[in-house]
Amino acid sequence: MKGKLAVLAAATFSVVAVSVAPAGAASSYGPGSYQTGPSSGDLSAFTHADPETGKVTILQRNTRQAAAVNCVGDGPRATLLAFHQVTDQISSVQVDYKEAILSDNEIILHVAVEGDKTGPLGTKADFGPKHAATGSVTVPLRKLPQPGERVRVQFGLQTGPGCLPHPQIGLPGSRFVNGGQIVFTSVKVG
Amino acid sequence: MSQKYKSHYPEPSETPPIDVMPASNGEFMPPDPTPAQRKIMALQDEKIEEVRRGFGMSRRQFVRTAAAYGIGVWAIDQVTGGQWGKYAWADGTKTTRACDLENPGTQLANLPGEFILDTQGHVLDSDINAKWRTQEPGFMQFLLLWTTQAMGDYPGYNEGGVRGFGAGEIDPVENLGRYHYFKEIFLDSSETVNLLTSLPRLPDEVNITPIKWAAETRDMVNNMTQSERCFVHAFTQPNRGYQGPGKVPAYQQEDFDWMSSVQGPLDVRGWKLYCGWGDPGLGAIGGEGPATNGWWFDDENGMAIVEHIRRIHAKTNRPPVVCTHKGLSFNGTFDSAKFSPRDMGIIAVQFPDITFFTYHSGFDGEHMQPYPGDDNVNSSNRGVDAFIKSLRENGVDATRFIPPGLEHGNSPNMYAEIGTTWWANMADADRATHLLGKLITYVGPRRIVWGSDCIWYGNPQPQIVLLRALQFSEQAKQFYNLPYGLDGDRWDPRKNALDGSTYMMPHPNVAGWPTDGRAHPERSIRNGILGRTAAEVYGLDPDAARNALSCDEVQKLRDAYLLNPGTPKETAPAASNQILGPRTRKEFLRFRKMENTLEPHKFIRFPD
Repeated sequence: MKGKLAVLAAATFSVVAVSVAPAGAASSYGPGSYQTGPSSGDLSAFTHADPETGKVTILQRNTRQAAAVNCVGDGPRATLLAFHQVTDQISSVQVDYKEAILSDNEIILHVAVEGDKTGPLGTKADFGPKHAATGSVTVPLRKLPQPGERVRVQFGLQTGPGCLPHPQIGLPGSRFVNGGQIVFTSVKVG
Repeated sequence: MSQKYKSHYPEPSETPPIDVMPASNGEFMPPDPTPAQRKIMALQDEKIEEVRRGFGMSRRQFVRTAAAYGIGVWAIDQVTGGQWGKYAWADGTKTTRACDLENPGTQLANLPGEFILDTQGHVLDSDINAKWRTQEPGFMQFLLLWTTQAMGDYPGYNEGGVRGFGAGEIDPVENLGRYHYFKEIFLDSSETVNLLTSLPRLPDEVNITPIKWAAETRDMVNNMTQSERCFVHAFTQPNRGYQGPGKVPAYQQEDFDWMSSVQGPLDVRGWKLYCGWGDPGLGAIGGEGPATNGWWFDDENGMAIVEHIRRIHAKTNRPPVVCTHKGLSFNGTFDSAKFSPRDMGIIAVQFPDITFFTYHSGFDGEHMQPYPGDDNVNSSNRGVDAFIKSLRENGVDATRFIPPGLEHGNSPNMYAEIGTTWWANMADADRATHLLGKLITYVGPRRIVWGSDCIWYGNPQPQIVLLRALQFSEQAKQFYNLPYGLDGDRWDPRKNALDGSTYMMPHPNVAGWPTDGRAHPERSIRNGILGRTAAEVYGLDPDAARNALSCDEVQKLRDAYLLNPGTPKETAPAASNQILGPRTRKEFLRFRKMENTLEPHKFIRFPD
C-alpha cells in the first residue's frame, strides 16, 4: 500500500511539476558545453578562446604603420559557440559574463544568434572599457526560429586593427596595445 | 648646355591622362611603383608616341584627346586584365593595336542610357576670410597632407609668371575651391549631376563647406545651367561636447535644433556622418578612446541622431537619407576604430524606413579578393568584407532578399558607395571585378553607387572612363552568377540589357519589364552604378533635360576670383591632366631638398 501511495504521489507531483513549468523554459549552457568558434587576426594579434572555462582573450600591438589614409590589418577576434535545439518557442538569448577587462571603447563584446533554417536572428554588442565587470548581454530575437531548428549562439571579443600615430600629423594614433579578457559563465536561451 | 630639368611654366604636362603611378603630396615617401604600374606607363608611352605621330599631333596635344584615354584603358587591360576582369573596348581587338580601339567610353559625351550622378563631390570655402581657416587650422593641414590637388607641387617663378602649389594656386587651399570644382567636375568630366557632400565639423560656421555656402554653390551651378546639376548634403554629428558614457553630449540638442532649422530651407537632401569624428583630445581622458571620441550607430548617440533625422524628414517631402563614412581610417586624425562598418547591418535593421549609404563601402586599402566567407571575417575590421559581414550577420544582405524566380536580391535599405574605393582599385581589372562582383552579390545590383571623391583627387574622368570599360571574364561571370557582367539588367542580371531580344516579352517575375524589342542600356548594372541607382533614392529624373555649363561662365568665376583681394593672381593650364607631386623616392628626396633652396620652382620630374 505504501508503495502504491508513493507511486501515486510521485505521479501527481510530476503532473503538477509539468503543468507549472512555463512553456519554453530557458535552457542554459555553460563552460564545458561550449565549442570553439571562429577566430582571426594578423601577426600583430593574439587570440585565445577556451570552451572548457569560457575564457576568451584578445590582444594586439598596434605597431602597424599607418599610411596617409589607410590603416590596414586584421584585428583580433576570438569566439565561443553554444548550440540550442529548438523545441519550444524562444524569443531571446542572454549571455552572462564575469571578470571582463576591456581596455577601451573599441573592444567589442559581440553576440550573434543564427538559426540553421531561419538565418540570422539577432546581434548585440557591448563596449569597453570594463574593469573586472560582471554583467550580461541580451539579444532579443527579431525572428522566431522554428521547432527542430538548431540555433547557433556565437559570443566573444573582437576589435579592428590599430596603427601607429600618423607619421606626419603626429596626433595620437591607436593605443600601442589594446585588448580584453572575459569569462562567459552561461548562455541562456528562452 | 641643355637644361637638366624642365621648368613648370608655361607648358602643360605631357603626362598620359590615365596615370597609375604612386603619388605623394610631398609629405611622405611615395611607395615604389609595382612592376605592373611601370609596365602600364611604359606601354602607354610607347603607344602614345606611335599613335600621335600617325595623327600628326604633338605629344602635348595628343595626351588631351579621347584617343589618349583609350590608350590608357588598353594599357591597363594589357597588363592587369586577366583571370577575373578586362577593360573593353580595349580587350580582344584583332591587332591589339591601341589605335584600333575606337573606344567611345573615353569621350566626354554621355553614352546611351548613361546618367552620371557623382555621389561624392567635394569643394570647400576657400575664401581667405572663411572662419574655418582661422578657427580650424588643423583641417588645413589635414587637407594639404591628403590631397595632391592642393599641395602636390611647389610654387615657383618662371619667365611666364608665377606658379602656385598643387593645381597652380599660390594659396594652396584655393586649389580646392569653387573655380577648380566647376572646372574639373562640370567642364572636364562627363558628370551629369554632382552631389556636393561634406566633411566634419560643427558648429557649421567653422565647417570647411558650411551648408549655406554649399547651397550657394549648388544654386550657382543650377542657375548657370538652368537645370538641376548639383544638390547638397550637410555634415552633422551627435557627440559634440562629449561628457562620458550615458550622458547626453553638451551640444547635442543645439546641433539637432540646427539640423531642423536648415534641412527644409536649404533643401538638405541627406546627412553626412563620420562615426570617427569627435572632440579632439577628449577621447584620451579616462580611457574612453583614442585621439577623438567617436561613436557607433548602436550606441545611444548613434540611435539618437538617426531618430532625429527620421523626425525632421517626416516634416518635409524629402526621404530620410543617412550617409556615413566607413573605412579609410585616417588614423590619428579620427577615431579610426569607429570607421569599422560593424554597425551598418545593425542600424539598417533598426530603421527599415531610412535609406543608408555606406560611403567607401568600408574599404581601407585592403587587397581586393572574393568574399572569404562569414567565419573568416571580423566585422570590427575596416574593409569591404567587414561591411558585407555586418550585413550578413544581421540578415540584411542581398542574398536574403531574392524574389521568387530570380537569382539576385537587394539589401532592403543599405547602399554601397564606392568613392575612393573605385579610384584605388580601378587600375587593376581583377581587383575592380572582385570589388563590384561581391558588392553586387551581397548588397545588390540596385544598391551600388559611384562617387568620385573629387575634387580631392583632381579630375574624375579617368574613373568614369574605366568604369564604363570594365568587363567580367568568363570565370568572373560564372563565379558571381553575372552572365553579362555589368551589362546585365539591374532587375534581373541574368538578362543582357544591351540586347533587344531580352525585351521581347514580359518578364514573369519583374514588373514593368520593357517589351519593345530594343536594347535598354539605361537598365544595366553599370549605368545604375554610374548614377541611375542614386537618382532613384534622391528622386531625380535621370532623363530630364540638363544643360551644359559653359567655359565662359566658369571663366567669369575665375575672373572674379582673380579680382579677389588677398588672393594673388595665378595662371592654371586649361586641363591639368596631371597627378601632382613626387612620384618616386628619388623625386621625393629632391623635392625635400628643394625646400631649403631658393629655387623650388626648378623641381619637376626626372627625365628618366
